[in-house]
Amino acid sequence: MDIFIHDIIKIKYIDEGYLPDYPYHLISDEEMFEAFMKTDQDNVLQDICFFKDNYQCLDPELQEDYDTLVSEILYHIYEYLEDKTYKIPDWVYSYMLLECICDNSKVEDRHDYLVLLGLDNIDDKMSGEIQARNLEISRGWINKFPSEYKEHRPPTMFGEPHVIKALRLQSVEIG
Amino acid sequence: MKLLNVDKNTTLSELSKRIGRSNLNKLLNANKLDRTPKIGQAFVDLCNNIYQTTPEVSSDEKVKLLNTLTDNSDIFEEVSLTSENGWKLVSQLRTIPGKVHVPDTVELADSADMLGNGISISSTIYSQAVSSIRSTGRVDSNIFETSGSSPSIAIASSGSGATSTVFDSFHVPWGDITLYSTGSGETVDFPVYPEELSDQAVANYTQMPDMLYQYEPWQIYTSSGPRQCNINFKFHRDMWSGDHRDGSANNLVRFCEAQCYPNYNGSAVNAPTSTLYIVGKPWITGVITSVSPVWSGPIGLDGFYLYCEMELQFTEVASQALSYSTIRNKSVVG
Repeated sequence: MDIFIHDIIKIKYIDEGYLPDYPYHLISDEEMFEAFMKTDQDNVLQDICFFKDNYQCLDPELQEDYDTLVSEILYHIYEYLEDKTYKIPDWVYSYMLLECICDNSKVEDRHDYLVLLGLDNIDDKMSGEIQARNLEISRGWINKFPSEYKEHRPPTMFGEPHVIKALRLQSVEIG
Repeated sequence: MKLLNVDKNTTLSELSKRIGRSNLNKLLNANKLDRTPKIGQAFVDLCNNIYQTTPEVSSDEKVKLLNTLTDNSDIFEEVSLTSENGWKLVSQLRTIPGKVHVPDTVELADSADMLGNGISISSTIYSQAVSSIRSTGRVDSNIFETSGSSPSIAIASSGSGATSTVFDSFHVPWGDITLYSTGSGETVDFPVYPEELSDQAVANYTQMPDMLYQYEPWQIYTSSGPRQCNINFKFHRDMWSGDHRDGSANNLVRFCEAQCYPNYNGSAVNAPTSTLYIVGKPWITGVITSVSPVWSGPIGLDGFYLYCEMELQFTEVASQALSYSTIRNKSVVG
């Protein structure tokens, strides 16, 4: 089953060098997910994969939450590879498309996100403190989900869309 | 031949956007690079590997390499002055540290991040570079130093009587405003229009005395005039030749002030009359009763003020008998 967003991701990864320079329709989903998140048997991220290049844990104290995030993303990927009718959640695709704010996001998006967090800095760079604050907000938001939606939905230390939403609602004192 | 700036943080997608996706593989092949997301870091690693594995480049080899670079003087200069490691890179990849070699089949517009100006190196510099390499193994950077021989920039000359001045760039209405004096028969030009022209026509009446029971006094005409004009000029001492030390502005002020004094010739006292012409038409002819220059800063090179506001007060001495009809029929201007 062709999924349009997979084509978009493949084109993006070919442009960026994570996939070989073939026509995108000749790239399999397995190759695409391997380019996104390449791990060994112990789910440790390998070098030169999209996720590791863009989303790094900057605070050793958050390593456990980071590993949880990685393993939950891998869960959804493996579920899809087992059964191609499985629907990968949108939040996984947001990482694959670099929609989550990180150090390699556009500087304007990073700046707006850091201002919302109240941790803006001159270089608009991420830090352990920023990731910890982000994790706290994400945890608070996800805890409000009904229990069936919390499963395999870890809190994150990166600027996922729900974190931005929570911050914007906070800024107008809602929620 | 062109060389394109690349640093260790350059990504493959950035390079692709810079040179075009269709040219990317050609550039990677020319620089012995594989497709990888962090292409800048990969290039740095490749360069470091070349530094460690390539032997020193001999002087003869350097001359041979320079002979291939004579079509682009900027590349010739950069290569000539590069380090020993840089020469190794030139010998292996035809490029220098921090730049990738752009193959000739890839056409890119010139930009600040590219070398390859297409200007041939001068034979003098080429000869000096080659002899420097043969004698010392390196190129002396002084042969590229051109500041000593750079052409001097001719700043517009100034001084009284100069025909070309900075004020040629401005519209200075020379000849439009002139003042003629009968005292010396001289005419001087003002470099500016009057800021203000105030004119005045007056009539003098007296009242019939000892009139009783009149609802208003009878006015008896006695005389008219004199017409009086106040004219204000604002000018700068640089406005004549561009050099305020030429004395032209001061000459103008003295000329005006002199109109307030007569010439004595024995017992004869000859007071001058003056005529102010505006665009060739006489505005007023009469005696100048007051000349009030007000000097203000900045201070010029000769230690005197540069800016002057000067007021002239004219009292008309009409050149013809004035009546209702002559005044009524005067031109609108003048």
